[in-house]
Amino acid sequence: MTAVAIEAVTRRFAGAAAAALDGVTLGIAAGERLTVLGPSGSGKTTLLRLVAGIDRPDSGDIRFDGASVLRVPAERRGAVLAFQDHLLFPHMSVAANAGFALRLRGLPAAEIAARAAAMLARVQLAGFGDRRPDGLSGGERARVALARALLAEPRVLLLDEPLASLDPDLRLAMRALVLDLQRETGVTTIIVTHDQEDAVAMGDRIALLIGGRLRQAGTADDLLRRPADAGVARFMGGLNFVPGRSAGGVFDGPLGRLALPAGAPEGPGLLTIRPEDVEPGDAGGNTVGVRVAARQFLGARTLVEMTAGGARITASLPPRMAEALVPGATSRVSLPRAALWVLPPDGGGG
Amino acid sequence: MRAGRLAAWVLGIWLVLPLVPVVIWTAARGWRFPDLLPADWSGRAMAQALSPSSGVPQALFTGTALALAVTAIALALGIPAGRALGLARFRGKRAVEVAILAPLIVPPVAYVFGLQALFLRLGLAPSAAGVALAHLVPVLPYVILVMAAVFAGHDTRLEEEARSLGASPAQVFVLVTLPAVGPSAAVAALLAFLVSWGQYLPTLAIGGGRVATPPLALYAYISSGRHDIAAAIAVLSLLPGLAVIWLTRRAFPRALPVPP
Repeated sequence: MTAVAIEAVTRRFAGAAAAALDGVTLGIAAGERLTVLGPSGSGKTTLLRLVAGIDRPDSGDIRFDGASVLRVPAERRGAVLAFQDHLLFPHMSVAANAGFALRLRGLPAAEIAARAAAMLARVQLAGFGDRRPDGLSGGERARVALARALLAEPRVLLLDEPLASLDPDLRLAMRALVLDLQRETGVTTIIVTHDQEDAVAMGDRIALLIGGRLRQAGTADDLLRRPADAGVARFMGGLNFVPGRSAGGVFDGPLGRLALPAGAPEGPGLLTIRPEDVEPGDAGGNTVGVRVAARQFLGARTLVEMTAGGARITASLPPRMAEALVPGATSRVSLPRAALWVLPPDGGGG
Repeated sequence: MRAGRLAAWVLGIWLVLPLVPVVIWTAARGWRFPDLLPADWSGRAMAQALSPSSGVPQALFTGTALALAVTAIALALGIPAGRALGLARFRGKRAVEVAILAPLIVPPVAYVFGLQALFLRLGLAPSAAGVALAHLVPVLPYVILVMAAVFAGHDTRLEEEARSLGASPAQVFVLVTLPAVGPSAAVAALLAFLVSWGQYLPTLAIGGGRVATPPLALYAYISSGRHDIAAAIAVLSLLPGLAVIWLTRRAFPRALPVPP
């Protein structure tokens, strides 16, 4: 297993105003699954290409187990990049695609065929070996691409949007397959995605990249409950930002005095709580009187917009719990202490 | 669809019809003006053309060897150049494309004698190597432009994927690039061969008559009034081209649009 260190990496493309990657420093432990999350154009794919060795950084260093790999060409780096869109070699059979890396090593044809067939069976494509890529469905292509990457026995596996372009039911199956295979092989894995749910489900840790800069790296809980700033919180689905001041474990602002969890930052800032953590009624503590402004039924959830002391609070509730909050009426909601966090005053990007 | 078929037939007849009198001439023994067909038939012209003393077998060999060499050089230069032109986006790309087309726009008469003077000074004329270089002038534009069009639609991420999976640059070229562009490269090679095969003026001027190819033999027999032997050479000249088309079709069934 291989640890990866990305150190102050900057990549600037000719003719582009901003750097595609701007001083990104990020460590991935041996055997860890890191998801790189960010909107399109945030530099996620550029980061994968740099680690794979297909592109070179303008400055900074990339180390595998402590040794710089910048001078190691892509084909000898042992970092296998599975591209977005699950590109298969169109002139080769499924088995030849899967066994490509073994063929490069000059293994006997019988051994390549056996190992390719075993891996194809492992990704639920037993018997597909003789098919051509252009006859495969999107989900089948994705699994062939995964089998091909794993048969290369990479030190570092790089997956660029492995679930994009798959139907919703296939996404869940593919997500489970990637996780299972990663756990079996223990390969250090970096997964790029623009989807917050995929990032949370697939990563031991998440690195959030916006505009070429690393905004926060940590566990899903860190990014969801303890975001570094309002920009991170907004990208992770945060909707509540109430200005005020944090002092001595209490937040003073338009919602009154609310108890904060231990370790919450001190000083002027924005109080935040995830919409799904807002509870109707008094039971959760930190109770606030609200007027319900609007209610929007979204199927699985209902969004309820409320005002309190000039501030807005949005809750995302199971539809039946939201029935108590009638637009135009006043009510009470809890902002549980453990779900609160304080962000630096808005001013940064995001 | 019907109009398209009609156009294809008209074009086919337009291209094939001129060959009919050539084939008749080959087998004619005296063919005078008012007669629709020759008075008598004979295989003598073809027999004479095929005898070593006519110089025609030697010319066929020289022309084939020359065209093969020119094709090999044109592919070695034209595939990388076409790749660069097809993939790269740079300022003045249109101007470069027009410059590459220039040898096809300017008639050979305009540049061959300049080329001849230059090659004489460099000691390249008269020589077969000089003739090959002169043939590259009209051949390379076809190869570069065909390959540029191919590479413009080429997904280089397949090559990057192969590298990432452990393929050396040579392995990437053989296992990924060549299969992707091979059929089109075969078409470019076919064009290169046929353009070289048909060259007259550059061969005459740079070869100084010492590099005798079928077009030179053809003109020699026409100017000496032996239309029957000239016709036999014309028919023989068709063979390598047809063979190359047949081989291309066999190796790359999807490279050429015409049904077999």
